[in-house]
Amino acid sequence: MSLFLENGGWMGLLGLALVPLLVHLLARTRPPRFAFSSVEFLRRVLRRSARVRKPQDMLAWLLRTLAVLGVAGAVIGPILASRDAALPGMARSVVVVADRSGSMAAPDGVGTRFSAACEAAASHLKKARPEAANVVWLDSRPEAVFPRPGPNVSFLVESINRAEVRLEAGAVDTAMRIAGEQLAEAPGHRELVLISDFQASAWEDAALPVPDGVKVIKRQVGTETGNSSIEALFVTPADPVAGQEVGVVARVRNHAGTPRRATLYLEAGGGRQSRVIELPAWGSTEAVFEARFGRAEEVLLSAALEADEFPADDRRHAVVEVREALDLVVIGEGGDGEVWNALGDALPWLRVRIEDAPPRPGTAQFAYAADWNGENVERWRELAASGAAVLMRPGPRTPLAALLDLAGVESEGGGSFAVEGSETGWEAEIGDADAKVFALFRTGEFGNPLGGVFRSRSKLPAGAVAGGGRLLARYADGTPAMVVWDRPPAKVVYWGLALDREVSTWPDQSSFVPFIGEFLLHERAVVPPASTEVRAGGELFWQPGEEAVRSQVRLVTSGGEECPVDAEAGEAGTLFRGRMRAAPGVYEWKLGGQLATRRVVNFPETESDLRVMDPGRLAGEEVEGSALLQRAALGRGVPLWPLLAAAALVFLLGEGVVTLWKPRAMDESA
Amino acid sequence: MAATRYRFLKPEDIRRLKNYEFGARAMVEGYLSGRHRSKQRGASIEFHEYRSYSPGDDPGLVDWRVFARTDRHYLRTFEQETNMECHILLDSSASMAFPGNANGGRLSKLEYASFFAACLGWLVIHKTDRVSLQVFDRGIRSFLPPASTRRHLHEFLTTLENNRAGGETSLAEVLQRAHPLIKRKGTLVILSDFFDDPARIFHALNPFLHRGFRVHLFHVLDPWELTLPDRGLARFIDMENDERVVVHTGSVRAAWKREMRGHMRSLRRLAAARRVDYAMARTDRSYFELFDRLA
Repeated sequence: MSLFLENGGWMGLLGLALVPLLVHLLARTRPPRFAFSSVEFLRRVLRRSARVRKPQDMLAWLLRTLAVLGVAGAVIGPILASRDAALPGMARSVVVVADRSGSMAAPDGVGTRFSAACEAAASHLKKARPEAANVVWLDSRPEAVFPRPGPNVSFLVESINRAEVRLEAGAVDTAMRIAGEQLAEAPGHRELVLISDFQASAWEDAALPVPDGVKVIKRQVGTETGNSSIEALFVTPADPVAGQEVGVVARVRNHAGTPRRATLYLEAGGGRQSRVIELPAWGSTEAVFEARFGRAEEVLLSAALEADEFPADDRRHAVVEVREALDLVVIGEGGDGEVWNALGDALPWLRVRIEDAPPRPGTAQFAYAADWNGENVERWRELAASGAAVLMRPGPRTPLAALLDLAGVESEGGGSFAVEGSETGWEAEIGDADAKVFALFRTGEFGNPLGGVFRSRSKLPAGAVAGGGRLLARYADGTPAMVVWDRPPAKVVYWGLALDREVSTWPDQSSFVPFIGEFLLHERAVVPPASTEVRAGGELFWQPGEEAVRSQVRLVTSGGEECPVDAEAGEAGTLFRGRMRAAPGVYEWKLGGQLATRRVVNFPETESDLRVMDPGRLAGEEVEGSALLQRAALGRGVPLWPLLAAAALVFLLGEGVVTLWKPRAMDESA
Repeated sequence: MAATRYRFLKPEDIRRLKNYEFGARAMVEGYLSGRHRSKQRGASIEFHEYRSYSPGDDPGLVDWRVFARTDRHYLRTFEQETNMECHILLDSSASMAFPGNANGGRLSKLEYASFFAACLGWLVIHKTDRVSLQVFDRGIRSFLPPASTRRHLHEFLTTLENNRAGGETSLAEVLQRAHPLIKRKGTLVILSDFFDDPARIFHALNPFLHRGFRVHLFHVLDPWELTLPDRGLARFIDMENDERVVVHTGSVRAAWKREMRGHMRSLRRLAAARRVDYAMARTDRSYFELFDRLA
């Protein structure tokens, strides 16, 4: 029950409360006189009793004061504890920011952090009974239940009870901005209630852009717990060729202070492997599974950990596009093209085309320019930038600057390549013994990869190698024979080793084909494959690139569940978009009942670290003035007034004991 | 002898006193041969001891038979019986007037002490012993030298009747001044409320004790002084020096009782150490009980 003083004029009557106090202070007692034999003895008694009485009185006074303060604190504490507390009769607006990001799915007692958060949010709204309220859900795309705070609290409570956690990363700043905008227009006393686990990785750098005069209440749910998660799953090399041996790498992270042992499972191309891994405290381990994909297709990789405290992040998926072959385009005429054609016949995963001009970007992984005269530098650069490795064998009088420009090396002065010949020829040798391309030849089983005699060669100044190039091969006299410039994603190779059989015996060597195979596999430009992974909470879309009939396109989850799809016509073709938010799992786009492509959605790795932070460390906190009380009481849900009332009772009892206590009479029988 | 015109000596008291004996356990120095033993050696039939002759001794006391046997001069001494002297010191300071008008019919401490002094004086003179009286407050207000005549008794009782309480107390100072006035040793009876430092009192008593006086201290107290009357919050006014203090009797009564017990314990302890008789004389009890201490 609330009492209101409607008429302020009656406030003057409160002065009557002072009357008893004034009477007490001003009234003087006149005690009756009593003639007594010795006042000196009485004085002595008073002096002696005062020695005990004074500390006793002081203690009783102190306890009485504390008791009064305790009672006062219990009555008016909630108001004093929060300088922005709503006074009776004042309009109240509450905006609750409820966290439903991935970490809130972590178990907490018999429920989850999210269930505890929902309970706290509903409880707060019911108790606060605000005139206007709203709930902002914190996930990857935060949104408010109402466009602006409204009076229908019961609907908000109902929506809270229906809500589900989303395995997405939380966009804290966006949620806080929305809440701030909601509160900026709200009337009366305004409260911002943050209900979250305050996951350290998500909230550490978060700011609270709270408008002035808004009281912030932070309610932390959940306790810190250990966890392990699959942080990454990828293939190396990233775009393998059919039949190529690849490594499937699963990086597992331990989010706990104690080392763990776990079993990791991998499903790839219908096969299943497992491995026991050791996880260091707060560290990660990479497990590499060897695999070989026989066909050119889209392969689904799934890695799984043994179930732990938080199973949501124990599974991860990836899709690998396996190529049928590598395309190599030879530009120029002559013996070099014949050698490359022969290589294409010898290597089943190599397709060789001979063309007159540099190919269009994206149509080949390799381009070889025979007797390049320094033309079309710009086109070659575009080709390299698209992720193709360009192998340049300069012809006579080719400007040196053209090659260095293509390689991204600052050229000093002019000059051109000089082609020289010799009857006896030159021999080449390995320039970088540690290079991967030579790993196969270290045992000597496959012979000398650069064996043979070269009777013609172009001369590259040795200083050109200093511009960040790797010297793979050189002639016996030190003249560079093969230099690689890595400019990701571009790769430019100076090819100074003649292939034409008229001037070179190298292609006839038995080690030639293995070396070229190793070179093409290891010196391929690194191009990240087109991502098939969709961010959790993001949109699932697919653009077939060709005219597809809307009725033939379907989006199906790995469990066979059909997802509604929208189609948007565009210049590049029809864009199909799933209506649902992407939750962790595997999704298949099907065209006419056939699998067209896959998309995978993984649990966001930022949500796996279940460590929490002290909400008091959040920047922009509005409760610092009464942080102790807030944190001890309101912030963590411990009501303070029973403690104060209990303290007052204890002090009153103590005061009674002190008042009634009398020093023991010495020798009462005397 | 059964006088009835004296305020402090009532006929019924006299009749009762006739059955009492005032005996002196200590030796006295009387000039009359009488009931009381004396350390003075002289003519009597009670043999005391032999001692060597010293020049100046009465040659008549030499035991010639012993001389014949030992060829040495020994005196044969006898204990001499003599009369007793009782010296009464009556505290008449203002505090002895307590409880005054508020007594509810009870005797004041001075009246109580005067009744007892009168009876004691009559008893001593009745036994042909001598009694003296000193009325004092800060100093000796009046002094009646020891005597045992009827006239002396009349003066004794008249002095008591004319006596009024007043002035401050200083028993220690009074004892120092009284010492030269008392020529012969005997029994010293002090009637006072002893609101003074016990150590100073007994320090002043030392000369009397050294001379062999038998000392009786009668601590005259009103029952209210033992328990402190329940007056609630009251302004207490000192009867001797008009000092005032406001106290709530309920809050200090226990401490007052402890203080009084401690004071009496201190007096009793010091008295026992010096073989001085100490007794509390409550004014709500019969003063005849005090004669038991004098037997």
